[in-house]
Amino acid sequence: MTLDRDLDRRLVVWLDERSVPSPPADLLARSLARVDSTRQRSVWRFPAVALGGAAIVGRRTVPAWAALLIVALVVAALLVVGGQIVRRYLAVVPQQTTLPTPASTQAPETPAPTDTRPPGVPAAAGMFARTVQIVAVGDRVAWVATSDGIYRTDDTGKTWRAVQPNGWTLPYTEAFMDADTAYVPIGSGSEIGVTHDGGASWATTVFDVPVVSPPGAAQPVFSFSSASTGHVTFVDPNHFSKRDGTGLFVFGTTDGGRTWTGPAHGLQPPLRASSNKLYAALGPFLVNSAGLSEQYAFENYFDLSEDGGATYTRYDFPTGALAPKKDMKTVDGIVRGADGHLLIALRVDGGRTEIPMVVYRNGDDPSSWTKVNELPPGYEQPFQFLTGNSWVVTAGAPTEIFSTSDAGAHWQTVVPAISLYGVQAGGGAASWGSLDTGWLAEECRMATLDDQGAPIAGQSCGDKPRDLVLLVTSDGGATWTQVGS
Amino acid sequence: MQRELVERARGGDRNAFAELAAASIARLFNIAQLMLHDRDLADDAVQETLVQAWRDLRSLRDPDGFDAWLHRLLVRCVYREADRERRRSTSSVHLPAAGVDPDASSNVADRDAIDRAFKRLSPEHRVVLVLHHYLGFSDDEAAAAMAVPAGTVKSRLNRAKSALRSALEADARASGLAMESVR
Repeated sequence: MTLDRDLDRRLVVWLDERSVPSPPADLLARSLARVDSTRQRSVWRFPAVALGGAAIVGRRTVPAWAALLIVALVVAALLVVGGQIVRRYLAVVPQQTTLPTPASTQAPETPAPTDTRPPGVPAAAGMFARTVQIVAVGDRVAWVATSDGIYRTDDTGKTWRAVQPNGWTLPYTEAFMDADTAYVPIGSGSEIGVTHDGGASWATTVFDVPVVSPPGAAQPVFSFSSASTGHVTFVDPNHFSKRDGTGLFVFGTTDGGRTWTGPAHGLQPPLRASSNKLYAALGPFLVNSAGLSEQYAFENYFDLSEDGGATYTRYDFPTGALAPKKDMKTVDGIVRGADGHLLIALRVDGGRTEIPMVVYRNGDDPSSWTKVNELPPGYEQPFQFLTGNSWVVTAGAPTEIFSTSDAGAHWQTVVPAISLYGVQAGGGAASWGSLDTGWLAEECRMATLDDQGAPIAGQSCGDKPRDLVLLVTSDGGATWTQVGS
Repeated sequence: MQRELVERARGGDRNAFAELAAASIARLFNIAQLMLHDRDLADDAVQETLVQAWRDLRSLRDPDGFDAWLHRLLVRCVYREADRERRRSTSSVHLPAAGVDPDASSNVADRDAIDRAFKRLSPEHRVVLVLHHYLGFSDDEAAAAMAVPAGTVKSRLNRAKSALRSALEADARASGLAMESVR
């Protein structure tokens, strides 16, 4: 609330200062000159009908039977539309089960982390102050990539190890597959590291791909369907910023990176309203879709690759009231369900219209989509598919954890004791290893507010209010414990 | 008095309408320029509002609701002008000038930050913030002006403030980066 009040106060002051006492001197005259050349519209009055006679509609006379017919048609249309709305509402409104907030919101004692900062990280810096990526695996293991190092815990955050390999560069596209296996970029971007023992040791592979300059400008992208099977894709630097597509060098492995095949040469299909960059994979999927442009209508499709970009398949976006053709769409999550069909969590920027995020199931062809379920408006991000049936939304405004284990048929809502606004605002990250255990990083100043935005007594960030802090929950999001220094 | 003027204007009395327009134009212009963040666009929006008000005045059933109705017309015209402007302008990214004092406690820096952040909001968010924070409209009054349900006003206001806060934070981060690059 304090945060809101402060913003309100600043806004009110600013609006007062920006207000102007008088309009341009001739505005009234110019307006009235236009008024002079404008005729007033006649009014459409509801007809006073007398059977057999005539009805008066505005200034026009229409037969009474015609007026009655219009009224009957309107009533019939309203009944049909109203019935559909009621049916649709009953069909889509999820049954919410709100868990009570625990009586005590006092956080458990924060465990002291094992101080294993990598060389060069000052002792005063928080280990997780610059967290970029969190990947939770089950209830105990998590990998956290920061700009200073890669950390790993096996005991839900009680102790940590810095596990990045020598030569590891900046975090961007690391793929943490399970408790043991991870793939990370090394050096200039033509080399990768693979671990199969949770980061205790790393094997490196150098690929024959064009040298990327400057180093780290284009990191390899990892797209893996399992810990052992997947692809690493390098981007031809000469094509990186061109609008005519991206040159891709794709290597594949089925034995956890011990051997590689390739390269296959791929080309990300160019889009008119796009920088045509290759973005980090969503699991095994590379997704390519357009942005909005002043010059072009929205390109209402996305290209999907499951082989590291060697080949792409074009899918039409779903269309309908919740996915207008002209609106920009983004695939926020994608997973293959147990039946082999794709599920996508689709975010639609409806401009003036608030459109909820919807999960769609693909049919037998790339243009066939069926709505599985929709989230109530306001629950925007971050969305995570744990499996085809288990989904989690870490919503910051309002601060709620929203989850389902039956593909949206029933929803569980948990209200945390702290504000998660910092996650929703894009200043943090979240990852769930199960429906119980989740991790998030957000700015310290946000994590010291309660779910209503009021400061929590005894919580302070010292002189580092904007540093990220890492938090973990083991009860589905009701209580969060800060871990690390 | 206003009721009588409205009734006369509704009957086609152009002078009565001129009196109503003169009494409203300063307020309309002020609101429009706050919402649109541009005096020229506000000028167009106000002209269009008054022309539409005259043209459709006979459809106003309750003369006492003239002000609320005028606000509704204005908001509609503001949206239209914002759309036109959006189509005209090309996308651009405004970076803070290097060397700008990032001290958030400075009033000038704070005003500039809100100025930049407010400009980045969608027209719908700007409208709801002006109605709520400047005109002091209740949810119901804002709903009438925006032609949406009161519940939508609440959620839109919440989102507008979230968006403003995000824009301010992004601006602060960008200012920090600009300062770092200068050092």
